[in-house]
Amino acid sequence: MLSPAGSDALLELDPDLAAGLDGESAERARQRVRVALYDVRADDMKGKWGPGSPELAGLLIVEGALLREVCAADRVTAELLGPGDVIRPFEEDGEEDLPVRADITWRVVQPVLLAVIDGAVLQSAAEWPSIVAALSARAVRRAQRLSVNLSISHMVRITDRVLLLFWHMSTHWGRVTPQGVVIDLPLTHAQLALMVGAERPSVTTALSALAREGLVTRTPTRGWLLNGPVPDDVGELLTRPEALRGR
Amino acid sequence: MQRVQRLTCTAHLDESRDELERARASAAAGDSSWAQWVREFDEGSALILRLDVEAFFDGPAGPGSVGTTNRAVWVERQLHPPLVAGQIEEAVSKDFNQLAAALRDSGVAWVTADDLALMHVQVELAPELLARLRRDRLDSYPVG
Repeated sequence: MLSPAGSDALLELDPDLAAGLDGESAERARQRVRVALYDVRADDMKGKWGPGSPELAGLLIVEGALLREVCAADRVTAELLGPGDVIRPFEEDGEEDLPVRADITWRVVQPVLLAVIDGAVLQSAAEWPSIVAALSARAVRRAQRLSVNLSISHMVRITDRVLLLFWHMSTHWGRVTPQGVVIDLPLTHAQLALMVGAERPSVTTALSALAREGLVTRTPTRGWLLNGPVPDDVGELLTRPEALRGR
Repeated sequence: MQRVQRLTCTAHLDESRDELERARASAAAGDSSWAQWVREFDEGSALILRLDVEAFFDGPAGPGSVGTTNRAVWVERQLHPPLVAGQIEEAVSKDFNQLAAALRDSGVAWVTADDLALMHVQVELAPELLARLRRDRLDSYPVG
């Protein structure tokens, strides 16, 4: 379900977009560039936006998490999206003419707040090109993150894929705590399987193994806790976790 | 030359009360993935297996084998046994670090877990597992 949630200053919602501005410019831009907001709480986002206006650049995720499931030739993969990512769900309804057709399903992993980046926003931001450049960079960053996901899904062993996926997600979603890095996302085994190109049973088996080694465990809030060092050698880590933990 | 000759995995039913209770406790604590597995198990569409994985090799002291046992492996029940075997083949690589270490201890020096993961695993379903699949198939997929 989508519902309007007022409006706010873009740079208040996403301060990283002001990285290229000096203090005075950032303050002016903060006052001038405002965005409309929408709450997304259920899984029926697809189609709500209709055909996109030529001036609608995209929707910036301000809070929450979405899973974009792509089904092509009966195979399903999934991309996790979150704060700072720019999406264009309205574009996908017009893709029927492509040689390989993909059906897209959006799933809300955590309630999402979206900012509409439309023509009015772009016009008001035009005085500060670094904001527009930063928004464009978000799209590139998303592609770069996907390419790492692709590499991970080509690893031979499922346990390695799952462990590296969690560490990969931690750069975007991780929160450092005294116990380790926490990823507060209630991702299911089935969703993780879609993200690493594996079957659900092998992801369950891999997660049980990682939990036994103490490398990935559940948190009381159904998130995930990563222990030990960032795995620069996954094979060694899984063979001798006790030797590497706390390195 | 020291080399691995073949990898085998024999899958047995392993529906222990302990594993089920652990899964039910996780489900009751709000883990939707384990809730799904428990529901499927209760409906007869999931199985819990024990996997005996063995690597046969030619070592410095002649032929030999090393093995590992992996308990409580959850798989989806399928109509065709080779589909169950396919799930097992994907899951079994979890044990390859341990197996590679055991091979090295036995004198087969130049093999890593990644090497093993690239090798074909001959999966066999134990008679009691095949019987369960056959029974389930007759129960769930009426013919005639």
